Amino acid sequence: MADASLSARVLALIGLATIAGGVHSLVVPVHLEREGGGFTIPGENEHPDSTGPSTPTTPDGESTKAPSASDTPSAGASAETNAAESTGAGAGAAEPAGKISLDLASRLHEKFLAGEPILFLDARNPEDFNAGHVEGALNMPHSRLSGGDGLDELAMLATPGDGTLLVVYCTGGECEASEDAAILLEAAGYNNIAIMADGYDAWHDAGLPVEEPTPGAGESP
Amino acid sequence: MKIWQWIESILLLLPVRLALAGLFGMAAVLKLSDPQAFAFSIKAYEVFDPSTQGHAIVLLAFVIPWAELLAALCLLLGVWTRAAAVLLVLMLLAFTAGLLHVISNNIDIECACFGNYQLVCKGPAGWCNIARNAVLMVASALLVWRGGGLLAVDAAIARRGTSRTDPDGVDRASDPA
Repeated sequence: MADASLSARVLALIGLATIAGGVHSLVVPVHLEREGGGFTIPGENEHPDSTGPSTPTTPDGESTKAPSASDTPSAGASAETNAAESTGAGAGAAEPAGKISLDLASRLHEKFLAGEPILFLDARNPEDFNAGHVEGALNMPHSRLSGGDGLDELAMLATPGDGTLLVVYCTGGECEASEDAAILLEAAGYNNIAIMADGYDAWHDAGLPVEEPTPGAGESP
Repeated sequence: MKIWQWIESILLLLPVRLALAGLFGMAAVLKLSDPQAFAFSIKAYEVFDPSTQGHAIVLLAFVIPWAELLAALCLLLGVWTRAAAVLLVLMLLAFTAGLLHVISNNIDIECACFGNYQLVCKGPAGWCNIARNAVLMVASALLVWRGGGLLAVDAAIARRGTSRTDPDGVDRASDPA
């Protein structure tokens, strides 16, 4: 009898939590996947790496249709390097939506330094960011984007729909942080997002521009 | 009434109840304050495929913290103490299964058990988290076995029921619900 009462109470608690959680989930939106995936390089047409159903706009407001994966070879008339080739994934390998190679990221970084509307966002945690990051990158882990002050800081530099290309990266390899950050950025209205799939480790190893704390900084000479 | 029941209630069951209530209450509030981050954390465990089972991830991202919150409130007050403790044991078993999945598949993620805070165990999810869960399971199992003690609302309700039905005044509240 006591066991039956205990089981009923446990089930009641689970039921109550399910109802509360279910209602809560209807009120607070949660995003797990990107809806788009296309991106536009400022001053250029839609990049062939981009895939997905979104139709991002160019800086001057012209809407561009994202090509499908099968369209990619013909769309390669644009003079960019295909991410699948440069990452060693092999010719014809389909890259996940909006991911770019290290080579293209490097070129975009040069444009960023030249003042083009491009931003580099580091999705790693602040400790990793402070240990070293892509030169000029902003630290935007998903904790700052989903309730923190990240979107406010970003809005001072780029507003949704203004065509600014956001290049997001994390450590590299199998890290999910850049994808998570891109999901939240897209949910906030930013639709021009590219993910640097190789991540910071590859960027650093390739000798590309980084900002790191100077060893011995603060010590007297 | 035996004096050791009071001693057990004051020195063991009440502190265990309050400690578990505090821990799981904090975990729940941290998760509920940022369901998106917790949903990402569940996704990172790679137990569910977000493209086909995204709805399960979203539901769990809300149900788990609500279950933790309800269990914490029950333990805090000593209401349905055993049921709340059973719920905690079930959740801890599920969390431990998830951690074992992470370890066996070499998935490099953080536990996310307490939001962005890392309680006791630092760094990637691993055996430390499982050991911590084992300690919490022992504490929860103690409450399943002994109940909330004489300082729980359960015991007060049982005493009231006993006094109504037991004119000889014998206390039978030592085994509260």
